[in-house]
Amino acid sequence: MGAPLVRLDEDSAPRSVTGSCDGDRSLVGVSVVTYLARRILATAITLLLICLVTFLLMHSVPGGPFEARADSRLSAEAVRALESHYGLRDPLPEQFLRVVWNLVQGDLGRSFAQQGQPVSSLLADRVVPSFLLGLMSFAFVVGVGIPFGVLAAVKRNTWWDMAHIVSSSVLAAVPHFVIAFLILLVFAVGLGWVDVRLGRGFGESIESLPRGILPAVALGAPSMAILTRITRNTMLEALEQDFIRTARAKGLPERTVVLRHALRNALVPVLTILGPIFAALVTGSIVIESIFGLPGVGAAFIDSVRQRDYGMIMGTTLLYAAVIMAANLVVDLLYPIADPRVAGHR
Amino acid sequence: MSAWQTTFDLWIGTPRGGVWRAAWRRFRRNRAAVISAIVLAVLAGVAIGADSIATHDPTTQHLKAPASSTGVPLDPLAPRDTGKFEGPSAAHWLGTDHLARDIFSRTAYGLRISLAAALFAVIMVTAVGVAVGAAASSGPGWLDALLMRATDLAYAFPDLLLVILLRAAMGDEILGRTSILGVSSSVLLLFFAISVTAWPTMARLVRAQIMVLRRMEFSTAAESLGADHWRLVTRHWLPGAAAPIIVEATFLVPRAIFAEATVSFIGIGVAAPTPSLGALIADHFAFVTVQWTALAVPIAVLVVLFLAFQFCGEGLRSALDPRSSS
Repeated sequence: MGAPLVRLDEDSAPRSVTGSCDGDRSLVGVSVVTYLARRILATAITLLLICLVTFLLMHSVPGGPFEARADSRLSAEAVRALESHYGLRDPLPEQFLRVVWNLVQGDLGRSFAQQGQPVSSLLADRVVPSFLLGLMSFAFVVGVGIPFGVLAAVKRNTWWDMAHIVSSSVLAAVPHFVIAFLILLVFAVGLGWVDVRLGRGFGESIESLPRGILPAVALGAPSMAILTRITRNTMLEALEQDFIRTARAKGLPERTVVLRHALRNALVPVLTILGPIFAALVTGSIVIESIFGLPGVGAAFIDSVRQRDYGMIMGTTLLYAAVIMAANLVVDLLYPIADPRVAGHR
Repeated sequence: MSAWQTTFDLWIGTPRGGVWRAAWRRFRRNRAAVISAIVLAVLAGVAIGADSIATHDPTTQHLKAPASSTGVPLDPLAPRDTGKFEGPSAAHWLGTDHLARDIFSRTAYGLRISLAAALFAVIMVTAVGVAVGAAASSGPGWLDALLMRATDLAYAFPDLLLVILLRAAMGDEILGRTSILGVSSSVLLLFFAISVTAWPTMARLVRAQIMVLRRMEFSTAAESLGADHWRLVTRHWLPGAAAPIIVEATFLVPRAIFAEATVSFIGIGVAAPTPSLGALIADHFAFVTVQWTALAVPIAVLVVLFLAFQFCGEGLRSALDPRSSS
């Protein structure tokens, strides 16, 4: 949920986190192409089901897209005319089939709230800030989380390790919006360095990118803490292996032992958690966007639910679901490359 | 496998009550967990006794001057002695908010709503998760496949979007204006929406546990002694899986509180003027530049709540499952 909304339990085996390995047992010795085809087919079916659930849910929201608007000065005839223009008076199964047929052709439909503009172009404008924020946050999570985890493992049982354990358990337990508020209290209210709505206009130009730094840190802080703990644990495990003793016995410098030998092995399980983390960062920014006034997909989704904007609701849900499943697929495909030992088992 | 075996010798070999007493002993030795449990007990006490602890009604406005005695609306942000944005005083321990309501009382009632949301979600999720997980792991194969595909679907569905959609779809009209234990129906619907998104994790956990247990020798032994399926599930497998279920339920609480706070912050959760921690944060955030202390109060409560559940959960895990406390 946010970070906690996505299940990032560092104690469960990292392999099971992707949640998509259930069918793998039946795929022993299958080629990559067949495997990929099956996964893509399964993904398509899941997307279709998500589409159905979303369709049913949004059509059961009381009120239609044209009566829901408070500022509506439309007469009853005009509402009826608009509804039949967009095909909203047809039977629901027919509407659903039309939505699916349009989706297959790559058409996400039109927005009712925004004068019938195509959803794809409206979403495209919003995707840029959300995706940039997710990327910046991911860079922060990986760039800070992994080095800190390695440091904590190498300096095991020192004050550094203790400080890291305490800070990471606090950061991992606290939701990201609390960190966002603390950042705002310090930098906006206390020091007055930034405006409270500092995310405004983020993603419009290169100059606006620094405005995303504080939101990205807030968004990524819990994931960073979790990644640090996982890296520390896998590093500790790796450092106890026989080949590390061999490397030390060969007289290799400690730096090489840690970075070339231990870290490369420790990173394999870490890799599997990076997919869910990336998906959580890109799709979990709804609250961060509304706190900092960032014009992203999450903020647009809240508006579209309020306005019963069916096309935008469907487009956002499918986009997020696709990001989540794509991240899992990429990790599953990268895993045998990172760890050739599991390739044979697939 | 040997670690598992030891755990099971521990579980099966000791008389009833012994395992729990041993776990309790281990839990008591964990200082962070014990302190957290005490903090949680105090917070739960505040939530339950909000009616007598709160110094004011949570929705009453304590305006000092009539809002507009001259007919001219007053500027809400003007520094006038209106009773709004007051600092801490003997009358209002934590001051008053932008509508001159008592922040201490609102926080006490907000804590009640947030904890109730969490409790409701945990009970729902545990009940559904255990039922589905048990049915999937010990029922016919097609049922297992069906339930696992359902949880796959729930995993791929963006959680927060589903909560928002469900909450919007259910409207406030379904239950009318009924209330259960002083909790209004709109709040109950929000709790329900949160539960719907959280059960697959529990179902998978229960299923995985039973899958392991059913292959153990004691299951074969019980079966050969004539235990029927129902008895196996209720007397052997579910008690065997109790420890991880309890731990998962503990960690579910902060997740549910987070979801409630998120949805209320966005403005489609608990309806105004009912306070919840998320609604308080949203209310006070709008005036953060005027009165930042008001925002700090619900956030501090939320942080304490999260940390206490985290440490308590970790303490429970290492107490109930000794092999994890390496």
